[in-house]
Amino acid sequence: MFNLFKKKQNEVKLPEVAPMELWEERSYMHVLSDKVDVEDIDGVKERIQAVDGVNLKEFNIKDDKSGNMILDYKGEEYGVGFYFEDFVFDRLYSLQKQKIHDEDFEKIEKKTNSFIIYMKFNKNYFDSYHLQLKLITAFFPDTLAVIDESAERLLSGRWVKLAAKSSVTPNAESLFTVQAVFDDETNKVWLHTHGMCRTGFSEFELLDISRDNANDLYYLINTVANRVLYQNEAIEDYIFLGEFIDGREIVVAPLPWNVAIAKYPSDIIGGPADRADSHNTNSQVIFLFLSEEDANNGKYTKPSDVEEKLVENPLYYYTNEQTEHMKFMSRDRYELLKKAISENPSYKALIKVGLPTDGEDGNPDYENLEHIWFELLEFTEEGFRAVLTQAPYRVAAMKEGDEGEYTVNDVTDWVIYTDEMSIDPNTAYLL
Amino acid sequence: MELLEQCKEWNNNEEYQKVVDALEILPENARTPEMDSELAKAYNNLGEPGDSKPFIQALGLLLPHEEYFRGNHRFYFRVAYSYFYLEEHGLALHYFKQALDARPGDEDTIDMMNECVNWLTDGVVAVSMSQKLELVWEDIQKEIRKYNKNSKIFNVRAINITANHINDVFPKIKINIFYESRTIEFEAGDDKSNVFMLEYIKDTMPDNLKGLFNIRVGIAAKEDIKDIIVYEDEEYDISELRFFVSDDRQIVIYADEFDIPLEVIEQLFIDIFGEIDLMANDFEFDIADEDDFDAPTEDTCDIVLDYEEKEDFLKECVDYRGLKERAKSKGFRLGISAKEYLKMYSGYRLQSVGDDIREDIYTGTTCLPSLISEYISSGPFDKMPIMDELYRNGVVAGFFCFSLEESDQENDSFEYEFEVMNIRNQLIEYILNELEKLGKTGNIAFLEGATGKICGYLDFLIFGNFMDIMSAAYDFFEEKNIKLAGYKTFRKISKLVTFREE
Repeated sequence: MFNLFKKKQNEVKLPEVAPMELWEERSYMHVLSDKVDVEDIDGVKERIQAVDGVNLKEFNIKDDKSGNMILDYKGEEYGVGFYFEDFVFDRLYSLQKQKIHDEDFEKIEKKTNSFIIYMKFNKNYFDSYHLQLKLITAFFPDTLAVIDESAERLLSGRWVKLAAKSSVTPNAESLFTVQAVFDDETNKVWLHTHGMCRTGFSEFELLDISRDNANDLYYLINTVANRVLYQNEAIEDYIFLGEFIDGREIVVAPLPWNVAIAKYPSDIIGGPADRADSHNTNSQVIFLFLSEEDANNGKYTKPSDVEEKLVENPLYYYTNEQTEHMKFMSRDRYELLKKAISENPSYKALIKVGLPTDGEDGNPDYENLEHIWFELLEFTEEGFRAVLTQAPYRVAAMKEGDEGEYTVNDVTDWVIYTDEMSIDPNTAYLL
Repeated sequence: MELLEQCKEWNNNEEYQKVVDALEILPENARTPEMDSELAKAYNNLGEPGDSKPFIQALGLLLPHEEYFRGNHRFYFRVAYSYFYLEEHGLALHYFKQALDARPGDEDTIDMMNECVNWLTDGVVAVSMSQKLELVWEDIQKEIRKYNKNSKIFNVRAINITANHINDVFPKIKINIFYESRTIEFEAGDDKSNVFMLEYIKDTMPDNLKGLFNIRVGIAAKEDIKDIIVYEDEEYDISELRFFVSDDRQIVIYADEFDIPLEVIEQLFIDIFGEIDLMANDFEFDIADEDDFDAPTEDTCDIVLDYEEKEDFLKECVDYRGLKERAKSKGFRLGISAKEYLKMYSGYRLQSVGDDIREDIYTGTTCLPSLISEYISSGPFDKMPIMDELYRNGVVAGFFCFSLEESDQENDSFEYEFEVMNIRNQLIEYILNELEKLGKTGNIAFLEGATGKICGYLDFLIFGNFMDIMSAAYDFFEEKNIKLAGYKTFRKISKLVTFREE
């Protein structure tokens, strides 16, 4: 139905979309550490001044040790507030958690005080987030854990320290989480993000997904959020996200949640009943356009209607920004890989290398690389020797089992397999 | 030193004119967003209170870069500062809040926010709409007097002068002129609050001008509509369209192949019904084409789904020439004047969510639903387009609130609601009587009110002297010995100003 005016003229309309909460609009983090317990922030000003790239312009602190500061970082001015607050451990059960070392978790359970540091992200939200982690470690070098309230995630203090001192910003997935809410009766799942709003974009959701397919459809919502963050651009109408196995494009077209839920039965999980107190601010539900005609006619398809296609090996495009970020992080943390393998010869490691493809003129094309996994054989003086695990598509001269020697400048990703888990550059704090 | 750095230094040294001289000569596209921001700061500081031009210039430079400067304290503060000195305190508060978010605890920002809240709470606008109009009508008459009344083009001149002066003071009003019928037509736009303001302008027109021309509020329906409507240089034939009007006042527009933009449909509806009838009926419409009958989808409207055969549906349709008559026969209220429309009200029920002012409401009626909707759905620092536009034009939108004896509601809710309504009616009568003595009854429009668990409410728009009306209300509550009475503007952030509090 259409209305000539953008709103009803003669009816009082009750609000559907609520204003964002403070922790949605800004980035709120709660820090746990031994020094937080005793509210010891002696010398913090000097430590902040010593953070690489930070120019502290103002630092105000009150008797209760709450305060604020103004600083410049990478050419942008930031205002940051902080205060101490009681901490209740129970809340952690509702959060997503990074892998936390057992001994750390035991300490976390006993904490009763937290330090809250909050700030507004600007358009360079990767830097903003990185800065917040750097400030946390400047306030509390002994950080045990951090609760990223805006993303509803428990961060390991070890990860925070690694990320803070890294020259590369944390990746996009650090800025948001994808949560799943299950309906045991219908066996349906509601997937939704947290943490996106602080970057200036909306949260994303998938409604009415079958429980069996939730893991596969996680990649759909995850890729959408990654795309928006890496491209620093909201989705105007739709985006090309990838390809179905039949080669047709996956076109994502989100709708505001209040418009979207009208297209679903009212009793689904994530429906009107779940919007009374939360999930009612800035969030968009993911739909698809299955053809150009659908896009032209505004015909939205629910992902739940084409689940079988979405779970059948869809190909999601990575943006150049995402690939570049992955590359920089893997190189930044290459020494950790080297150290882990040297100290633990039983660990296996795969290293992704960007190989120049065969150019149309017969010469190697260094602009278009094919990223392919090698198994690490040994580190050498110049770099490492490794064996190719699969045949490349666009490098005719190489085949599975070929050995080669490469340098850190060829690395675009890596993964270590220990006896218990796999560790990549982002989770290198577990080493 | 680079130009940008130099400008920052000049601004820091309060040498604002140097910044203006250095940056104004650059072509617009040669300035970076940072340069625009420094130039805006210079304009802001060169401007004096009451002097709008530099602040408007500053906003013109800043607002296009809002996304670029996302999260930047200085940017938000500069925008807010411009709005503050343009006396747009609602928008100023919105941007000061953004500035505070970017720099938590900043004392200057907090001080400015408090200033804004005080302005918005008091409700006293710097220049009321009645004061603006007094000057406008005076200037118009002065200018018209310069011309010879016997001239053939005197009326044309008078109309042009009036339209120009009104547009100078109220630039958002869209004016159409019909010289033949000596009519100035104000477009009503997309909100009923405009109709309240436009009717007030019309009502305050001096008698000696009334003989020269008429003012009409809302685009009138057209007598002679052509089959072709031109939109963005394309011609659209509307004669093939068919209209179905349901008993519950929904319209379905049918074409075998629907390729007419909604803007054309909007134009057609305005031509057929006129703006005020459209607003008063505020119907919903849907579109359908052949595919909806051949292969219905979930987007096919229910009305069409009720018909198995397209022909049966079309039998019930009319073309655009018959639409008005058909709509009337289906219960549309047509031929409503703007004044009648202002008196039309609708009811609403809310879930009482607390004891705070206006949070206790469970039932109400209103002549301006969009204002109530905006209030209910807004946060304390949100932009409020309707309130901001009223405020900009010198109109105060707010409500009186009063509480009765505690036992009243407990004993009998019907009795309590009746008593609330009774007090409301008495208050209206009292205020109008007092204004009558001043010859200014038109300076307030009562918008109906609401009943809460704790308080009763009477909503208003004030176009004229705020204190005349508040004094009258104060006297009324004193006489009635009401234990809690006061007023509040329609903003969550504004405070209750109490007349009595026991």
